[in-house]
Amino acid sequence: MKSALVIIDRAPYGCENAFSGLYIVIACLNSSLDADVLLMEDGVYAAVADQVSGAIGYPNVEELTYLIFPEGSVFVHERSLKERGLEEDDLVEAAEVIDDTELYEIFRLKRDTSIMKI
Amino acid sequence: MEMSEVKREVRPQGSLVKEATLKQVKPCLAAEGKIRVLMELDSEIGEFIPAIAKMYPPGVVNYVRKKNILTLTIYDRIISLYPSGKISMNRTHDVEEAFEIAGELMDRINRAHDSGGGGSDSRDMSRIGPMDVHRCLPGSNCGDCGESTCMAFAMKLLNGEQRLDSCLPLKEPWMQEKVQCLEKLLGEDMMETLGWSGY
Repeated sequence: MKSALVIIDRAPYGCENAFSGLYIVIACLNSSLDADVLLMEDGVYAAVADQVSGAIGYPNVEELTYLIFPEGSVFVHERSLKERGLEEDDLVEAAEVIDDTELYEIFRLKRDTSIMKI
Repeated sequence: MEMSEVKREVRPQGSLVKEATLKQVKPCLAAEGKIRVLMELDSEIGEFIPAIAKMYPPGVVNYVRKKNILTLTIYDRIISLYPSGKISMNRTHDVEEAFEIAGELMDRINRAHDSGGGGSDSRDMSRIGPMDVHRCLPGSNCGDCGESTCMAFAMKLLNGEQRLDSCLPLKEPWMQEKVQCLEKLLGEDMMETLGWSGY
């Protein structure tokens, strides 16, 4: 395995998937293993800017995305984003919005990548 | 490593940014005992990021124009500056060091702000290559700087791995023409950034 791609498709705060996925990517980067995260479906909410998590007593998921970039990428699936009424401007600065063609290219190019869906 | 936010007035006299808040600290397993941090300044800095990018040797700068994000490979670590005022850095020794480096970045941001965003000297360093620098060096290949040739020195200089002060012949009075050549090429600000302290 030359790199890792973690897919998150569930919203943060309701369950731990987003936290766990982002932590895995950070841990990989800390271990000098190339790693990226792909946010799809409700997972795109993890990249929304200006999250106020303190009110519900959870750590802030938004801030974790800044610890991934630039060594790793925070990919956000465009169609999932639009289906939820969100735009690129609603996201954290580190996010990189990708369409279906780019998503296909990422999977095609990452043949030696371990892909994990959290 | 979870912790509460730490806010400090790092540059009380700063014209734009005065405070830095430590938002996140995570251990950096690759470098034992080091941390990865996220900080946030008390002002947005997007307008000044292009000018800040020009304050560093081109070899250490990665500027993502589309997103206006600046990534610097300095102080033996990767530091990213975001338009919102967030700063992330890895391979940091401790919180104190994070604030110290943030302070040095804030000095540059405030300087860019003072000069109106364009910088006092707005030349594009990405267009200056080692050949351009080499033409302004003594060309004696003396090795005093630790490099075998002046060309090797020029390349390392632009990568931020060498300092102009290490070129000892440049300090000689009869080399003023070469120094003026460098000043014309790089500008005084970049000369200072590249480690020139004068004769």
